[in-house]
Amino acid sequence: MSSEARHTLSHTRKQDMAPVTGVERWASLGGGLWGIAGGLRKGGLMGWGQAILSGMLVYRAIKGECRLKGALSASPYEKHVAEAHHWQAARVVSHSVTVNKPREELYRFWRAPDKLAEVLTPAMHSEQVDDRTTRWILDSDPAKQLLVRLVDDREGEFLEWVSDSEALPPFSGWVRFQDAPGRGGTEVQCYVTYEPAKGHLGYLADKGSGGTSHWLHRNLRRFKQKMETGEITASRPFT
Amino acid sequence: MRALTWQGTNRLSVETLPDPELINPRDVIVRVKLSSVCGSDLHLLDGYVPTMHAGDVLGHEFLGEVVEAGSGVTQFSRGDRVIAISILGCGDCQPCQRQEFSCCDNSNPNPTFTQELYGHACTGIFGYSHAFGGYAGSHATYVRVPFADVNLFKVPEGISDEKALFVSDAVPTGYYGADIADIEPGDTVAVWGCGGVGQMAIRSAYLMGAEQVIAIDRFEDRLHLARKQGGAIGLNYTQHDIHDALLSLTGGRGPDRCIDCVGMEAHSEHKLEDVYDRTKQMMRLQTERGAALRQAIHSCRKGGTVSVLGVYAGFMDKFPIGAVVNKALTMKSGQQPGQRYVERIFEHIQAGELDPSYLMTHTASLEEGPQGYAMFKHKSDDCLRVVFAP
Repeated sequence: MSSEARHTLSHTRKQDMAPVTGVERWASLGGGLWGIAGGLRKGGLMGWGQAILSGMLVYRAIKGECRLKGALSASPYEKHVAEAHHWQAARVVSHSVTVNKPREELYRFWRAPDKLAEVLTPAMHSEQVDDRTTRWILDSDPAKQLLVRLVDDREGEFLEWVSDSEALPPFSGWVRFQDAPGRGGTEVQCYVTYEPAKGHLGYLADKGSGGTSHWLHRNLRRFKQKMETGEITASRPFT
Repeated sequence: MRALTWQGTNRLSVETLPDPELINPRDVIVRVKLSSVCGSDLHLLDGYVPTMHAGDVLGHEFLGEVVEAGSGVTQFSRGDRVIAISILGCGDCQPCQRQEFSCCDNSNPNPTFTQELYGHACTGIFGYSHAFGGYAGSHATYVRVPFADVNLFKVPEGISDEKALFVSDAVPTGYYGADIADIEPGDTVAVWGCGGVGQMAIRSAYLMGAEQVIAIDRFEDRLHLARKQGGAIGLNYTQHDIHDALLSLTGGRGPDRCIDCVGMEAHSEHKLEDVYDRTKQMMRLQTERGAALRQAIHSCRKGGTVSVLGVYAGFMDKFPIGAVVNKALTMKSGQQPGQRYVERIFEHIQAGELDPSYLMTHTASLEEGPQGYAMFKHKSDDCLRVVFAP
């Protein structure tokens, strides 16, 4: 589905405003007017608070669009991915790090699942099925397995994969290695897309908690630590 | 081992904890001989720095002896007398290779919090919250030092423990503040805050060519030390209008370089500003009380430099950006990349140009840790620094 050129910045476009139409618009108008009247009748701090909030409902109904709804909506690209995959919702996250190593070295590490497994958290191990397919198994719950298949592999530059699992949500992504300008090193951009469980509710939960985004960021940092220092940086309480 | 732990806002206790172990090949375990309190710890104690967990070990400025070194450590072995730089570098990332160790990309094992808060993951620090790595601090019998070849330094023969201890944090912080202020011969430098870091910034400013240094605080004992040990002109902001005094001392120009060594819990000489800042901080509408920084910006001469060393964690209200722009000020800041300066600082000490040992006004056992911090916090008995001997 995805290709690097098409999606380099497409995932960062945001949904600024969301349309308010049809029944929602009438409900917003009616509820807002009713709330204003009730709030003014009640009076006091609570009453005025209710009236102001209800006024916002009227405002969005008159304008026919809502910024708050926009902030809670999937981005245009996430909607596009969901439609293309026939998913209820799609979550797309991307992070980049610059690693102070040549891109060939980073590509080789990423291409070797047993090495990649050393940096991933939560801990998992891999079984090579064939040159392009790897089975990833969660250490804490071996029933949770993921069959990851490479669909695009360009030496030293780019890897793209899709996954298949009964126990985990559909998941795909790509990683691109690019020479950093000026100071050397390699820019590593990783992009992941998956279908959250429970549709839009799951999407909101993941976005609100930072779930997938934090997971990807943390793992990319661990990859960078391992490649640059030879260690995964660690601290433990009391030690 | 025994360790002084944070248990909640203004609650400390000494606990028995498991000894630290080597986790990575580049780690070293140090037996702590001396470990100092620091003004920045008070922000943890007062609950202004998030992501502290009950049981976290405090302390980031220490001297000790190597007891165990990992297989990847090449420069240290058992018995070496060492200090550790409190802000951790890895030595391998691009910032570290540019000698910007306090911008290290790799030393924080919990990078997400600061990535979200500040836009980028910040470096790891001993004993300074989980946002900065969750490393156990040095107020303990033992401490684990990651990337030891980068962050540990042997203390040269002839330098006493008392002189070497503060090369771990207070001296390089003050030195860094003076360095980034771009002091030129003949400059007048004003330093806000005469705690340990401020005292070292005063001395460093002279070492870098300042003609006169003006020290600002409200505690007479600290101003006395700034005058006596640092050779500064001391100004008590409860007795003087600081802006007027600074203009008077500089022919109306204002100080060429201003160094803020106060940070997020500044008191203001103006009662209204003080009440305003405290109220907003208490209501969590801002995290910083910025009176010292505002005053530094207000008083700095046109085209001058403001160097910010004080600890700031989040957001400040009424930041005078108009003065920064219209007076063409340069602002510089940061945690100290002490690894860059240690050798030079030890040379200053050996040459008799710098003696930080006077910062250690009080010593205590680790078991007396909570009382030591109470004394330090309330500045009782003219306390500048309490040093624990675990």
